[in-house]
Amino acid sequence: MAVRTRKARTGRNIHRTENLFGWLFVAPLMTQLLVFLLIPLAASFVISFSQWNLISPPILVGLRNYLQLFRNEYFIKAIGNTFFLMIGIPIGMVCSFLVAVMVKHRMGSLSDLFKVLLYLPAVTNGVAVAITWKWIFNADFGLLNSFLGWFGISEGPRWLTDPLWIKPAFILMGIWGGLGGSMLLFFAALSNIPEEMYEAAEIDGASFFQKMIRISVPLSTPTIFFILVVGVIGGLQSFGQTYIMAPGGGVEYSAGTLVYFIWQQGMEQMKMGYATATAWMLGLFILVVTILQFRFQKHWVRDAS
Amino acid sequence: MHNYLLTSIFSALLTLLSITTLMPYAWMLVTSFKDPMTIFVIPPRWIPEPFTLANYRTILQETTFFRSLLNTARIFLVVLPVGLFTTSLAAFSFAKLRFRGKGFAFLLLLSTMMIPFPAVMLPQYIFYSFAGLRDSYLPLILPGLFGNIGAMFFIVQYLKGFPDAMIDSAKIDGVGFFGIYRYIIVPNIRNALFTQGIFWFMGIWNDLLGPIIYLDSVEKYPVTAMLAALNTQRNTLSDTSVIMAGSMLASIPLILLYAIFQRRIVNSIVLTGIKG
Repeated sequence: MAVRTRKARTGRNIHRTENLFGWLFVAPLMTQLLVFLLIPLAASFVISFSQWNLISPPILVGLRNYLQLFRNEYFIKAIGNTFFLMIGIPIGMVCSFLVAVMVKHRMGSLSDLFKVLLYLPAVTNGVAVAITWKWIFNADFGLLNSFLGWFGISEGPRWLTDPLWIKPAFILMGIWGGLGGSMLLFFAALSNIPEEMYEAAEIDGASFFQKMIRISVPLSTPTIFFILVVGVIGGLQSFGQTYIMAPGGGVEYSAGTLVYFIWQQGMEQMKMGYATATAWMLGLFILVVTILQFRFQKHWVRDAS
Repeated sequence: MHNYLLTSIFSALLTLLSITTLMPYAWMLVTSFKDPMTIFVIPPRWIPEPFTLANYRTILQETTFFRSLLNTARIFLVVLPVGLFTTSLAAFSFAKLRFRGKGFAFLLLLSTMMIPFPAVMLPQYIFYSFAGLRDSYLPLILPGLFGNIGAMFFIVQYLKGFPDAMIDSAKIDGVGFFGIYRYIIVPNIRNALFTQGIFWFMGIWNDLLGPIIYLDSVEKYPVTAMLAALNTQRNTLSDTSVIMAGSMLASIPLILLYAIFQRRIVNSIVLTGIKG
């Protein structure tokens, strides 16, 4: 009897120690969450109701920042631009899916080579790449317009200075940079599809494209969903392209994005209240869009199991 | 036969696409060797004539670019060892230990991955300003020391397949929890840690927004912010070849790292893709 209670007690002690060490080991990460995410988030909520340039003390202004925001044409443009640039997500998705299908299709050892080459833009320096693209897009001496010249287009678009062309230019560059990553994810999804499914379809006389539409695409919907969610969250935060290729936001603010607007208001103009209010709007957009995507996923995403 | 035709069409298309992918890097390289006066030649030439290393000399001698490489090293040499330690410790705990509130804590971390950096960067900036830490490296180093949520999730996934029996028997043998981490977990997650370390390194190397917000003096900029600053300062077309030399120098370490560890990097993406 006495032995058993002691045993039970040591058992409880082990649980207590495990509980203690369990928390101890996650403590740094939880501290990070609290100190660098949750507290700043709460602070930015409070600051967003104030007018504060960090020099004179903050003045509470209630909802004024938020109300003014929607009358600010640059903010409205930034929203429009940010969402416009996300056109690149579906386009890039279709391209990378097709590329994954091609890489998967009996490429043998070449498949590894293509994977490695196509993923390169995802690992190299984004700023270096943006600067290079700025040079490629140069209307007078750039590579792209000279290439278009081969096809008889003597006067190519003024890519980065024409409000009409700057967004297509950004989208083009975004697709170039994002193709490899999505392709790898699609490649993984395609590799998971059992070969027998294709064989069965072949016996039924299905063509290559029928197999792709009826088998590959539906079974890749979880990956499509993943790329969409991550892509939209990332897309809403685009900043670097504008900072490098269209300083000031471009002609007529044609390339100013939400994060660029936040950066301008906060760091250039030191309007902390106004900038944090915008940051909250950005957070809200991300939250709403992501929730909507999760809501609608059951209508088109196949259960991975 | 039909498949053979398809395979050749696909390999032709993929070759074309690979060339397109590599083109900007090739153009960066070619331009960096050009004499600044020859970049205005139409149509653009692929062979630099005259071939010159002057742009590299300019970027290394007339700007603080070289120093920016050291500045970057100063950040990742501190963040990576400490951060990978705290990250893997948390991953071990979430994957293998039982503690109260674990599910909630995990879910909380998962949901905060949606919080964008731009939403918290200004309050952090304000805090650092009042703490007298503006224009210091601390804002770029401090958060990473507490770990990396994304990398933690990856290692948790990686540990899922690790047999609990080994941990249980170590517990019975009286090995402490830190001992289990040190002698059983760490040797088994070395690969995952290494890959996550590479990704993290690339993240630090490529970071633009953090440095331009928290640092004021350009001499303190790490490499990517430095490159962006040069792009702003030297914004005439004749500076293009110098900027391309800088872009080359900022890209080469990443390209080398990728060339050496490409299999690991690509496989890890494919693996997370399956898990994700």
